[in-house]
Amino acid sequence: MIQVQIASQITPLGVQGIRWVLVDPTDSCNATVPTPVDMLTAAVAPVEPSAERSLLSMGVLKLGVTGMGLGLALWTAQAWLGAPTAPGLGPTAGQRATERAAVLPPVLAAPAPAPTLPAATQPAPTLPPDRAAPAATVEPAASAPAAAPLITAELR
Amino acid sequence: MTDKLDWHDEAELLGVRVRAYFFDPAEVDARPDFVGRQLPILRGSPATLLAPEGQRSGYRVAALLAQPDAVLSHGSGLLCLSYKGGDGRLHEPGLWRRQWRADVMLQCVAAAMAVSGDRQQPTAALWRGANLLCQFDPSPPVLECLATHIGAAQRYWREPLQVSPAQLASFCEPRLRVLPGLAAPVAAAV
Repeated sequence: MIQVQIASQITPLGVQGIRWVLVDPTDSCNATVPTPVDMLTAAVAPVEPSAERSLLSMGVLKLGVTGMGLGLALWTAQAWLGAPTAPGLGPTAGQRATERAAVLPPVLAAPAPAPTLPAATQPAPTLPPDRAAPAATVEPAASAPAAAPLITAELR
Repeated sequence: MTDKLDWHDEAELLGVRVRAYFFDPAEVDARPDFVGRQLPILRGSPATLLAPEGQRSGYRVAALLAQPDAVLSHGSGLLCLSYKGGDGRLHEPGLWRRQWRADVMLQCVAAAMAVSGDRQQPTAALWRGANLLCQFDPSPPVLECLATHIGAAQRYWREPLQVSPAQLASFCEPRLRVLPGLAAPVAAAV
């Protein structure tokens, strides 16, 4: 080990306050000094093995990243658009209809048509318009598939 | 002559205690003697150049090879002076900490380490700018970092024979910046 002493202060007559540190003389990338022949050999070497390995690993890494990106893109496309079909790899008519339905804005449900009651029980033409209107508002609830009020009435 | 020199300011920068002395370059640069011109705070002291002015000698410790601008004998020790580095800017007495370049400072410390290891004498690290003379007092973590990373810096820079103080400093500076307690500067006026 080599002693190194750094002075912490300067005075007009000298230095003061020594700080010590040890330097390892073998702490070097090559313990032996290379000869000129070694240096020439190193200079004409085309590519160092470590550099070649790093280039190879970089290529493999690039390939892996590209493959992962392609796979992710395919998976995303399949998740959003569905699996391609065999003839022409295009969507089927049903899938196109589904896509159009998904793209089109939702349309408000049309009011349910007035049920057509038998003519004997529905004297509609005889009712005046001001009494026919409340009947029209009640009828859709009665014609709903659940028909809960009727079932409740039967249970009671 | 008193024991203490009249430094104008002092600050702890990246684990190094920096003492600063400001001077008028027009007046100091006109002095005939080397010490009075390059080390104005030591004007009249017995410091003497080891080699003729302008001649740079090599100093080596392990793989660290330094060629400081000047090495002076001063009492029982040496002064390792750099005055050609830096950017030549004038330093404002109130703003010099902000204008400070840590790489220049670490280069000076590394060069002083090489001189001390080569000559086996205590060595002080100094830098002389356009209007500022600085003395560096590195803390033990800074010295340890520089001393233990010579081989690593040599491998990093792919230098087969030696590493320069500039290369060692640039290799160690980011490591020093992450050491706890070194990054935050603590300044104190003298």
